[in-house]
Amino acid sequence: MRARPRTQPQPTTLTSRALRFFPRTDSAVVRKTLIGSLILGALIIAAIVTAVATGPVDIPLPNTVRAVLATISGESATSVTSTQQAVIERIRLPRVVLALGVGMALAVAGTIMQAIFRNPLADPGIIGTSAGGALGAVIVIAIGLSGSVLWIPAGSIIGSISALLLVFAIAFLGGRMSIATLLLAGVAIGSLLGAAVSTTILLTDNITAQREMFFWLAGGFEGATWTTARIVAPIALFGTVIAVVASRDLNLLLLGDDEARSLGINVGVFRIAMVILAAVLTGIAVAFAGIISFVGLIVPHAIRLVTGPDHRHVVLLSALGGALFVLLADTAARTIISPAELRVGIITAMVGGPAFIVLLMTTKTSRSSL
Amino acid sequence: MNPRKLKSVLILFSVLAINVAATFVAIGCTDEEPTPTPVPPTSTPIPPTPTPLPPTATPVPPTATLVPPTATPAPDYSAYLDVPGIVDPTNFDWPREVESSEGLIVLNQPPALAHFASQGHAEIAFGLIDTSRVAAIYSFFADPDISNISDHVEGIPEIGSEPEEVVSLEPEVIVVSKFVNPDLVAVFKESGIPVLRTALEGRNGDIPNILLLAYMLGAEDRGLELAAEVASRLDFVRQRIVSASAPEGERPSVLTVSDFGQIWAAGADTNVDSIIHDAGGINAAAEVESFQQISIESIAAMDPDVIIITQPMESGQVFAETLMSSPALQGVGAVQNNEVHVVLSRHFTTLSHWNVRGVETLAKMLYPELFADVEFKDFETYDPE
Repeated sequence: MRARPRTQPQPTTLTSRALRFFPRTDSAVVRKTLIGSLILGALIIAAIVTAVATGPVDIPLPNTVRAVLATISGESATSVTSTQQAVIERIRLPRVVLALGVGMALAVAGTIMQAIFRNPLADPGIIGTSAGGALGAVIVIAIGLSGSVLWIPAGSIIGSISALLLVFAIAFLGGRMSIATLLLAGVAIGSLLGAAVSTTILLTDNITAQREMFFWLAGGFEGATWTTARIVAPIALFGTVIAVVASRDLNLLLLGDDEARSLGINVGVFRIAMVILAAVLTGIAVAFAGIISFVGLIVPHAIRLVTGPDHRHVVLLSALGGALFVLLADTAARTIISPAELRVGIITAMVGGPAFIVLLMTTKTSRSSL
Repeated sequence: MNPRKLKSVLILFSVLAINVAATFVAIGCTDEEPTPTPVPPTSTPIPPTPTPLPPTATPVPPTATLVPPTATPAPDYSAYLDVPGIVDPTNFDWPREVESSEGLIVLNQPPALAHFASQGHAEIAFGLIDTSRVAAIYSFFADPDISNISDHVEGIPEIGSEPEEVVSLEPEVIVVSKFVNPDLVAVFKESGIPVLRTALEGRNGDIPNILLLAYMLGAEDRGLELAAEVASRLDFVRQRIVSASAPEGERPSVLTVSDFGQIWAAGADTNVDSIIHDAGGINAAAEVESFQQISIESIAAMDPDVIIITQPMESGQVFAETLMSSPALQGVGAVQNNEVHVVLSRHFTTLSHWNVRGVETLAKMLYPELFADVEFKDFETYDPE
């Protein structure tokens, strides 16, 4: 039996490979990003209007508009009752802003993860940050500190960052971090922390606290206030801007470490910076909304399927798509069985699961990839 | 002897003899024929005819004299006739048979040790039998925020959720509710322990469950007592409300909520819905099916007259303050009228006859003037004395 001759690589330069991979000029990218942003932006505006105008309290649309304008201007609206004004200003608007921020943060985190791991199945939970955040929150509830609005987010953020540091510590054990080690460490730590979450719930004698833990883990925006919205939204926006700025380097990272390094990227530092950014975005989202699954996985995947793999538009469009997806999910969660509510995490899972299967099948058929 | 002295002695003996004979006649202790000798009026020791009893002294009914003092009337067990699960409700000897969706159970004698896998069943059992017959408790049975028997569980082994722990205690029967996992029940049955599964509804005092458990445990008399107490306490509240309150359409709307990170409301088809109805209120969350998560905005839309919070007091007070200070709820009747109350949640959230305490609490809250003269008390647990 003769050995099959190995195929020799084509003598191409790295730059030409990169250009073949991401062939569009800046203007083409800008045009595509602009069109996508306009479409998603229009959909987001429609979703915001729907979300703000819909709810258990019946508020006529003109009054809704007046209440929104009054909220923006800081003046009192005529012919709007105090209850209507309070519902719009204190309940619906902050909830909409929080949902947009969380969706944006999770989707951008997912995009970053998928890029740096060169794996379309990577999501914010893959390096253990979601599980770390969940453990932090569950511990806060278990020790009875959940009465204050900021303790659970604080615990969640501390948990996320701790998990990230632990993963990095393990990944750097050999003195040099590889993607495989980071990925495996993330999966292992994520599983370990998930077990710790379950153990904490089981060992908690207080049934009230146990219930609170379960419900928190299911994810939701019912606790939205302007305080939480004002924390999450700027961080999500800032993180998105950083990711957009880094999108060209994310593209180059897809070519492989050696190629990216040859093109002037300090791969190690860049990857660590991006992982930290993804962890912070995930942590802040988990901290204020609990575990909302599938956003970081499915939104970048769907955007990439429509626009191609170029991160110069995938990052921004994923941010907008994530915001739209979560806002729609939350609006559905609070209106489908109104006046009762569903958990938004349930909606995203119910929509995201089947959608992801469809996307996988479509991807397989079209052989599209990162 | 002097004849005159002899005559005097004879007369004296005669008088004594007559007196003795008269005494025997009077006390009816002689079988001898009564002496035909007429009794001189002056010599009789029998007291004169007794004076009539004062009007307050009720004459003893004639039938009372026919019944020996040790005999008691046969208990009326007709209440057991319609109890689902009792195979022969006329049989109060052993063996007895009860059946449920888990099959037929034949009990040759009163079970000396039984396990109650549901808190509601345990609360009923604690009212029927001595706690020495209770095999084990779970940790939440001892939680006063949740359980109505937390003061009475001392000395009873506490177990976890592992079914093997139950099996190791070797109870003669296990009682479970419809909420208990079928796989768990299968383990019990495969271990040879008969299982009775009954639906705890937390409605109308759960009287059928009281009677079924009483029958099965051989505590049928105590079962009748407890069932009668539950029924009479419910009737008392209902009748006062019906006789004196507003028509049904004008009754106060009540929203029952709890905050476990999210707000949960008790909707239709819940025991709390039944409690609200029995207490003379209307469930403001009737549109909600079962227990569901709602939002502050939903509370504003429901606009209840009264909000009751069923969760531990400390966190309940925090939640009450949150509701009272929420800008979106300032137009809600309950908030405007300061009718946001934290109640003892164990009276509302359990599924047993203790829900009647919830009815009483809420009725007094909704109609304070109707129940101003009443101080409702907790149910007693079983007391052999």
